[in-house]
Amino acid sequence: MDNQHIIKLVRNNLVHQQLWDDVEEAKLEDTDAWVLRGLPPHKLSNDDPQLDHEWILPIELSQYKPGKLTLELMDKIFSELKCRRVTLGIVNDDGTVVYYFIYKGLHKPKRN
Amino acid sequence: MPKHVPNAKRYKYPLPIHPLDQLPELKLYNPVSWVYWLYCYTFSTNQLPSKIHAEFTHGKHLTIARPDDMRYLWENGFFGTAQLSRSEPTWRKRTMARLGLSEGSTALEHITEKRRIERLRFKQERSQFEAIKLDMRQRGVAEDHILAEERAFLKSLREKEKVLEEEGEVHLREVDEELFGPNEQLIDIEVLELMPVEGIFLTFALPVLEMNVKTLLANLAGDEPTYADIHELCLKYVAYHHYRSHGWCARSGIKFGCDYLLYRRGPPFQHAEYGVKVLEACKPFDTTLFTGAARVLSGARKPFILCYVELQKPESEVLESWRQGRLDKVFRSYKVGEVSYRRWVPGKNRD
Amino acid sequence: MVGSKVAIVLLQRDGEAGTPLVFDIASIEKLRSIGVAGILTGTLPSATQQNAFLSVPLRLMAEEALWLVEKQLGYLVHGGGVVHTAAEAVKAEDMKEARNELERSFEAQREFKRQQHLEKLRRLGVKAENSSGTETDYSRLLESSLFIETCDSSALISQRQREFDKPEIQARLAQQLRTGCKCKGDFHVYKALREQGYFLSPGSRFGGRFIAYPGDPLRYHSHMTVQPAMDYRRDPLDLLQVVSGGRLGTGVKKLWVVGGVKDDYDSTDAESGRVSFFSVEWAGFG
Repeated sequence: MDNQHIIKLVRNNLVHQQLWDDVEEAKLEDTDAWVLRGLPPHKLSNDDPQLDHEWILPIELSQYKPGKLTLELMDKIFSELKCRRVTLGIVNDDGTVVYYFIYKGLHKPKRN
Repeated sequence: MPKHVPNAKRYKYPLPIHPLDQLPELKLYNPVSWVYWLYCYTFSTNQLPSKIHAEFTHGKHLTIARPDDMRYLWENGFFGTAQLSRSEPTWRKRTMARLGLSEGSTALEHITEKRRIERLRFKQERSQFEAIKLDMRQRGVAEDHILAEERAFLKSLREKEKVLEEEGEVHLREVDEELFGPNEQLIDIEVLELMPVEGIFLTFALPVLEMNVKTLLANLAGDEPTYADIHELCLKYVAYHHYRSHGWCARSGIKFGCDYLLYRRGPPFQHAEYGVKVLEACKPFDTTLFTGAARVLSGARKPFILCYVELQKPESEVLESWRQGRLDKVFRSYKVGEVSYRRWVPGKNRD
Repeated sequence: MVGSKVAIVLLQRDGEAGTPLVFDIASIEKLRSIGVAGILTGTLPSATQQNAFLSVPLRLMAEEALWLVEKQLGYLVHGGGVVHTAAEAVKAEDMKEARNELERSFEAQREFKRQQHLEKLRRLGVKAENSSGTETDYSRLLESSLFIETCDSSALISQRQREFDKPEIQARLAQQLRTGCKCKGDFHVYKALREQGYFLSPGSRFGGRFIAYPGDPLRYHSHMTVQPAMDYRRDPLDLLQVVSGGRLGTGVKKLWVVGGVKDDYDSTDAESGRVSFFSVEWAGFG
């Protein structure tokens, strides 16, 4: 998956807007996707047992073209990262980056 | 910039091109003033003194980097979104506050010194922990136990930082180092990003960006596009131009799952009034695709507008005009129609 | 066993998927007990514009009807066909018998009302007058207050319906229903969620294909909006939908769920292996 050109954009957003710590870049073997790993400034969900490192997958949303992220690809990313959830860092063409959790399987909604 | 400029004054103009409103007073009894007025009228221009420099970064992202330009586009029609802020570029101000910096040099030197000390301390603690970790590995301690220890260590670091913060001390992360240039000044890393449609509007409709139409189009759709490559962009632009030319401030509606949000004046004045989804006329679509957006919008009490854009010329003709850079001909080939959409519940909508 | 199967009436024109309906109250109860809630769509003749209290028929989603047929819990009936054959089978003496039956019911009602009237007069201490004028008024009033009882279900039709429960007819009707469906994958998504014990109802109100409930919708809140099925290997995730779906979800506390269907999956037993689910929600920042 070709997302290298936006890795820095999402990294800067996490570090300098969301104030995450310890943010590192990595390239996955199986899918060629670039991911980030970092520590948020506080727990992201009340259901999380503790503050922990998160995996972020930067991905681009273009309103004019179809995307590339299939569910098969998502499965591969989950099996390589062996994590509970992946956070999609969606880069829009309006200058914003928005973050969404994606869990494998059916998950219970978080308590607010 | 002086503090507390009233919004009505700061955002006086709805677009980056202004009317000729700097003309001298015309005194009917004084023929000299007529001459002076005519002179001013003939030689004034509403062109920008210099166009705004924009470039493509990180692939297809059209960005503006100069702080003055960013502010100008924001204040004159609310164009673009600052990449590290919610909309208006405020990152530099926020960061200065977070790091306890002020424009005065003594504070800066002070922080620089403190930063060095803090960094040194962090490095010491980290290397101490690395040594402990190595020792544990050699003793054959289980990997998850080591991981737990590492977590505990990071947590203790964080708590120390918290104490420092509570004492009113400024916390400087190691990564904040990269924000300082060789002269220890804070580098403004924030840029303003324009949506592709904003880029076209500020190049083709208004002569604001220092960018050639052909360069812009090549970056947005490639050098040799097919009609399919430009189709969506054309529909979205035609709708965008439609609302902008009717005096609406149109901004991205992605957060609400639609294409645009329409503001009567702009974000500082009031919430957006409408959400717009651009659809292709005559093309069937799955209603579940927009019931979600409609619900999000109705939750925010915004009517939902379905904006139908219809192509009225052969695709090949439109494509040919695009290739020639004749955007006027391209966009004239479309027609716009609108429908307002609202969920209707028979039991609740009797009155 | 044929008798315990639920008859699902399929109203369809040629080439159309059709609308699966259930008219029988006992069947509706049974469906609910096995996790099929459906939607009541019949309105009340006296209050046609309300939708708070609806009645039979129960409308099923195409996926529900297909699932019931596949599990041998129900069978499809050609709606138009069954009415025609039932009507054609009616003989003159049946009609006469029906008319006599109606007349007997009227007579019983008249008798009952007359008794009540006399009882009332007696209680008020008024003597029953035998003047012919009032008597005529009274019987006119009486005649206009008679009810014609309509049955909940037709014995004639339910008999005919069972004739549809033959493998070849069921295969044909199911095929027709299936080809008219928007997306074949949705059926697999439906089955996979059923296997995990969820109640499903139509989700278009919430921007999805289905709404999934952990149990009976009258007892539980739904916590999932299930999206139209995707092709596991080919369809890209629509990020614009993710954004609006995730945002909608935070408002109404529903998770946005999407299932990818593997079209090359051969096993015929568990659907859970065929469909790969993911749940999305807003991360709360950004």
